[in-house]
Amino acid sequence: MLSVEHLRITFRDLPILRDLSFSIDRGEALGLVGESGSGKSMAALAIMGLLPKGMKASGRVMFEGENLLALDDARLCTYRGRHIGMIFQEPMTALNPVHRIGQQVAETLVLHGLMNQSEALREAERLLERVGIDEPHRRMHSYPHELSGGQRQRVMIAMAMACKPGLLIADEPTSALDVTVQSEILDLLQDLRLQEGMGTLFISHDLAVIAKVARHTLVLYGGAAMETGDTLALLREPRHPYTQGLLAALPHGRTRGTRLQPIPGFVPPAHQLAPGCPFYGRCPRGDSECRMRPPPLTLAHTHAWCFHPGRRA
Amino acid sequence: MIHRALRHPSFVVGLAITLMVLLIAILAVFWTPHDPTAIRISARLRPPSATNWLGTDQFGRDVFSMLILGARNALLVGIVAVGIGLSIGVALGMVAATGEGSLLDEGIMRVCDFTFAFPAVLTAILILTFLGPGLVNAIIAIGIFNIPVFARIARGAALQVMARDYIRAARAAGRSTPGILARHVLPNITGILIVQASVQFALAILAEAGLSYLGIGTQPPNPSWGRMLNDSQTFLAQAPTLALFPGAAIALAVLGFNMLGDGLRDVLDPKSLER
Ligand SMILES: Nc1ncnc2c1ncn2[C@@H]1O[C@H](COP(=O)(O)OP(=O)(O)O)[C@@H](O)[C@H]1O
Ligand code: SF4
Ligand SMILES: [Mg+2]
Repeated sequence: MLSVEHLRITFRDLPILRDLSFSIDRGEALGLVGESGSGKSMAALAIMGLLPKGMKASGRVMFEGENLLALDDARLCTYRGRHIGMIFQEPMTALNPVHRIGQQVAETLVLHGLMNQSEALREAERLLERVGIDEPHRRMHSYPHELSGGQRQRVMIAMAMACKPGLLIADEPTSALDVTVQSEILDLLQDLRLQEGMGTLFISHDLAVIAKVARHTLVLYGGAAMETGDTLALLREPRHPYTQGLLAALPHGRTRGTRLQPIPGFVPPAHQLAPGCPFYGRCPRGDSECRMRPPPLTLAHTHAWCFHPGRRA
Repeated sequence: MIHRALRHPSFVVGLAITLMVLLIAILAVFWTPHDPTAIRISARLRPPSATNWLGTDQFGRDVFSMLILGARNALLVGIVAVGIGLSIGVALGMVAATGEGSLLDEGIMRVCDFTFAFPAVLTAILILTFLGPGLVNAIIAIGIFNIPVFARIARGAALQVMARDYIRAARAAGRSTPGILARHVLPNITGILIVQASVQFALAILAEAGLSYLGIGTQPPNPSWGRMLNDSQTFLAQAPTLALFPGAAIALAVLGFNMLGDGLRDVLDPKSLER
């Protein structure tokens, strides 16, 4: 259904995303994971055609046979919200403070011509109930500031789901929430995906979150794919040094006996990246080859872009 | 919010004065105690009395009737001139904001800067020398001077709103740029626009009084506070109240709208641009 092919994003000739490819089928969830600044959000925005000013995307974003990158804004508006829904990290600010909740959920339906105003309001109430808002009838008339963060994220989900899109993009949907609320929202998203059969691109910096929701995972770093494969395989036996580092940094990492070890260093800004492997410099196995040339794709139980993949040294 | 408003002294006083001026102006549309244009030389320069509550002027015209018709004219100028400035200015400002940094944006803002370089009344006088004197032309002149004021404010506020997350969410939901301006930007900048509108309203009343004082605003026999003030000068020794009443009317109306704007600024808190 969605197939991203050789997606590149540049900002003033700096590479933000380097040659990213992945695909998502109906009803399937792909997890996109990587530290903050690795380019996850830009990849999502490129699919939506909503990149910030000055960013240019090339390659292809095929959605149900149409290359979204080739469409003008007017055509893209008929996809956004209608066929591709998106939810964001900040539930506290993603709702317009001056409009009532019910109206905000209903208006996407009216906007895309699926229903008239009164039908849409009735559907909005049903959607609020579906996403687990208590007393949906009363909440229809609330303003965003009257809701908690978790409730607002539920409303955002109701808005994104309203037109029953084929694809849902969730960019760090739980990162701003408390742990208990976080798992409730994850359950809800999981539940909705299975029931509505949407494809989901689930973005998080947290491998533990991805592990709960996505069958397949793509690890991103410095705008480049590091490793991809079946989530279980990736967690059980990662081959890429970066994935291994992410895993070791997890509080409940699967590697018995090891302590929490954050990866030393931080994500370098785009202009400081070497032509070779973006992880070079922080990688314990990096050598001069890694610095100069883009790492090759190596195939095993996962796919890893690395000169020296394999078990932890 | 209403509770906060009613406990705000400047808002309450400003609102009271504004409503009073408004009611008097509406009254003047339907009724005045005397015909304010009727000249009776025999009854000229009378002091306040039971028949002429605020006395008569040098032509024997009833000052109270002229004053309340003057209120009507002052409000008319305010409403139409601020209306012109708001509608055109806000449209320009929002268009400029959507194309931030573009040639169109640059163009609009440079023209605004240019008009700001001239003092308001001077600009109005300049425009009136082209259009000719009169109430309608004065309204147009004051309206034109209001356009860049609102264009700037609308652009700045719109830029702030457009950086909000809910705008990105609206785009992701499939809203086009015009839809986003109408549905999300405009409702979130109305507070700041209302505050500015009441300030501009006071300035418009003052500008009309000034232009009429100079004889290029409202033309006789249509009464205007500014011209009443000018006319009274000649008779200041014989009838000092003739200057007092229009002067007080101008001061009161300007004060009222300014206080209302001040109160609204606090009550609506447009700095946060949120309720
Ligand atoms: N508006 C922008 N203009 C220029 N560069 C940006 C902008 N937003 C993000 N970037 C850069 O793009 C890169 C990827 O950012 P992002 O996709 O937001 O990362 P992630 O979502 O993985 O945390 C970072 O290097 C960041 O500095
Ligand atoms: S290519 Fe080299 S630097 Fe990059 S992750 Fe593999 S070993 Fe490390
Ligand atoms: Mg992000």
